[in-house]
Amino acid sequence: MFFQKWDNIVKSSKDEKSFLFTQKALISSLDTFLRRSPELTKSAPHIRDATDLKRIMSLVVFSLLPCTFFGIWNTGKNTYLSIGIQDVSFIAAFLEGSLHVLPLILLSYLSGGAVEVFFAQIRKHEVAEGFLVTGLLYPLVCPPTIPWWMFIVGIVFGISIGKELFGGTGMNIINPALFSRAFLFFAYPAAMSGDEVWIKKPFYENSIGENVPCFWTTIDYNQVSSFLKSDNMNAISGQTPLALSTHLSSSLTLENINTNINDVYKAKDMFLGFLPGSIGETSTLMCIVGAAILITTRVGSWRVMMGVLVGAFFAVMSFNLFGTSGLSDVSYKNHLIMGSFAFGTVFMATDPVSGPIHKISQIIYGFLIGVFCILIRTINPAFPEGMMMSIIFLNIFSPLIDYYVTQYLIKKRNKEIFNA
Amino acid sequence: MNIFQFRGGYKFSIENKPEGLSNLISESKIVALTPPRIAAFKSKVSVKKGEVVKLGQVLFFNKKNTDVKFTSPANGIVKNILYGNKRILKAIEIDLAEDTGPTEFKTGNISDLSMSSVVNNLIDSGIFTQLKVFPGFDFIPSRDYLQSDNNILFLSLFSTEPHMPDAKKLLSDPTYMNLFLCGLKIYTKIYKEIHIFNNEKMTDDSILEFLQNFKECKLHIMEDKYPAENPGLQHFLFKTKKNNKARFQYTYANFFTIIETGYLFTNGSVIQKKYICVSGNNLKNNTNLLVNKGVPIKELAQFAVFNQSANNRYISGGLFTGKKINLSDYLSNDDLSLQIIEEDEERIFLSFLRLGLNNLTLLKTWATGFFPKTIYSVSTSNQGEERACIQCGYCFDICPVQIMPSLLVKASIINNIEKMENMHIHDCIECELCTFICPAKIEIGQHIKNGKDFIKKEG
Repeated sequence: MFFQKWDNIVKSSKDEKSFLFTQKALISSLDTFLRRSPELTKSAPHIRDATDLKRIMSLVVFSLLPCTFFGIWNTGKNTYLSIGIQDVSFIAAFLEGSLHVLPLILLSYLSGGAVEVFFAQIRKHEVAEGFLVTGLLYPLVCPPTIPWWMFIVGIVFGISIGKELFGGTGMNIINPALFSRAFLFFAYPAAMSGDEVWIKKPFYENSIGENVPCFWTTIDYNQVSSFLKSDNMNAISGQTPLALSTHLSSSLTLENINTNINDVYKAKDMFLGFLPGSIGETSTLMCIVGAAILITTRVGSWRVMMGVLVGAFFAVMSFNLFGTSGLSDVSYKNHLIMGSFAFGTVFMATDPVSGPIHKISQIIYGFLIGVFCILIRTINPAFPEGMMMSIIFLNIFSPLIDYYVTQYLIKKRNKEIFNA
Repeated sequence: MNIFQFRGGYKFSIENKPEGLSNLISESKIVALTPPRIAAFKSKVSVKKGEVVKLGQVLFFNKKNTDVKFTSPANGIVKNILYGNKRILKAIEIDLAEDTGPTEFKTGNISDLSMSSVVNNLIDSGIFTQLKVFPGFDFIPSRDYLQSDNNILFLSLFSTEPHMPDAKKLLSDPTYMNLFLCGLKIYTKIYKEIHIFNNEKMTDDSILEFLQNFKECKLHIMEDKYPAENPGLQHFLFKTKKNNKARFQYTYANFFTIIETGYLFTNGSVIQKKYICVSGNNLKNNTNLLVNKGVPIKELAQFAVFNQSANNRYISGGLFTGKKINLSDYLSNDDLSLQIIEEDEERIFLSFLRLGLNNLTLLKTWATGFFPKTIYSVSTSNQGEERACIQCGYCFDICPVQIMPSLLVKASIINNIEKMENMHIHDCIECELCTFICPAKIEIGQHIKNGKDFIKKEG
């Protein structure tokens, strides 16, 4: 049987003389990934909770799936839109999207996994499960237009410098997926930021108007030419909502910036995610579905999510009241559904390793993420999006928050017990 | 009447709860006295091989503290004295013989007895060694402490840990109830305060009447979840309640110790029986059991297990705090229950992707997490391998005494005494719930114990 052969491989990988010994970390990780480890409890307690890190990480991956599938479909849909095809079937859009997104996911797991295995080999322990999440988070926060080489450089840098250098899963200070994206953001700003939206060119396209442009569907050329002449083109070749709001606030002296944003991007589309953008983070609705899974299984902290929402709401309201520039008038309705706010709140901020451990510090941490996100968005015109920066910023500060909360809790407990 | 509620903890419902009560008549002709499994000390044996011993006769005692005496569990002849490494006493085996008759202890009208004669009787009969002092868990109270003014006794009549013997089953028998009340009466002579804990309202009339007559005894009700019966937790709750003066040291006793005391003072000899429970996977009998003291574990296994050649784990005590023992051991005074569980090395294919319809969990990560009434089966699998802490904070939530286990582990690894004491490492009651729940499978309890030992060593 398969498992008998496999058992032999596992056994020989533990033997120093065998040539498989060099791949011990990889083989034993694979082994415990496929089947529960045979390890027994050593002493009291003699029974253990059935939940291990594999389960927790696979639940996070599960909660990411709605965003992933939506992102695949949305990428395909926008690709067709960019060449003027509006009526495209779900399957065609999904298949087109898969051609763009699945390679990225695969590359992320392979190249990042290679780094993980390399470091596990050096440290002589197994590959930690945290990578299952990082490997999926990273492609979801990247634009679909990113060149593959750049994508690989990002994850290799992020995993090795952002995580393994600190000691691997559990020791990293900054969320490795976010760290990889931040690296790309500063190393290759042209590909990762700027005003233009990210739309992938169709996979089998020569040029618009010629024959055989698409693989999955047939094209009505009348529709294409009429679409290209119409105003709708703005929505797909123009600016991202955040860039648009920056642009509007500087060029126009309009009182109500919100109506202007919503002229181009309807609030409903922004909420459902029917716009171009980073692969996984366009749809607020899908993030809410993910949040529901994380909160019901108690894997993600609702305190952090709530903190971010309240913090952002608080900051937006303050800007609306006291702000002077046009940007500060952007309403909270638009802020909460724009950009990567929802995705960052649900999947990035709730990362337990880089976040704080106490319940009180989780609320403070979340609140500050929300405030800083809006602060960066509104005050700093160089960064239309503030979510990534504010999460990284608070990741670095979370040990400090934890330290003071620990001191506070100890003091409170001393008071309760000894002064009673 | 106080109802004590506490944060954390969990009410476990685990299959094979021992239900009945049976009396096991021992067939083996040999019993043994073993030193306590928890506290190691230098023991001085006071009998020789081949010597005739009586029930209740002192067989060995602590060299440093001669008040700590251990007495014979039966009448007979010393067959063998077994030593382990470094000549640490392992067991004194005794061949059973009928004729000798037990050692007599001075009895009389209980209300006439003086306190010192009660203490002397307790020390000479060896019952004294079953009283334990907290903090520490493994200390035996000193004679000075017993005679001091602020001594205090904790006593639990219930158990929430799976599976420990059910006191109420035994106390429903009027003979044992009378012995129990007699024992309590004895302890009111020594202790200024006796706190009795139960998980529900007492309905038994004889106890209620007793409590009205003896104001030293106070009845409390604990929230019914593990580890409510832990004396460390009870003491912690006493500390946090504003009305109670916190005392550093207190004694605690098992309810059967009280019955033994009652037997000693009514019959003038040491009781030969012991009340334990036997439970586990694939057993013939899951039951509460009255057995002779010091019977071989093998005999209990014969009584309970279908297949003795299976790879079983024998645990003395509950599933959370118990210790592994060998089949060749003898039932010691510390053994309150015997768990026999088959070692579970099954390699489930892609176990982490399953729905989890019978997975023991306190979290919501498996389907069973949403059905709190499920009765779980247990397994000795570690359910994964050790990983680095991911700061999930589950141990903070489950800890009943509100310390910070995962931070304590970090302090304990680097041996930072100041930090450990700052975070109240001595409040840890060793309930092991943090180790149980840890998804990274870190031996949190062991790390904390190491930290405590380090502090003890450094003074």
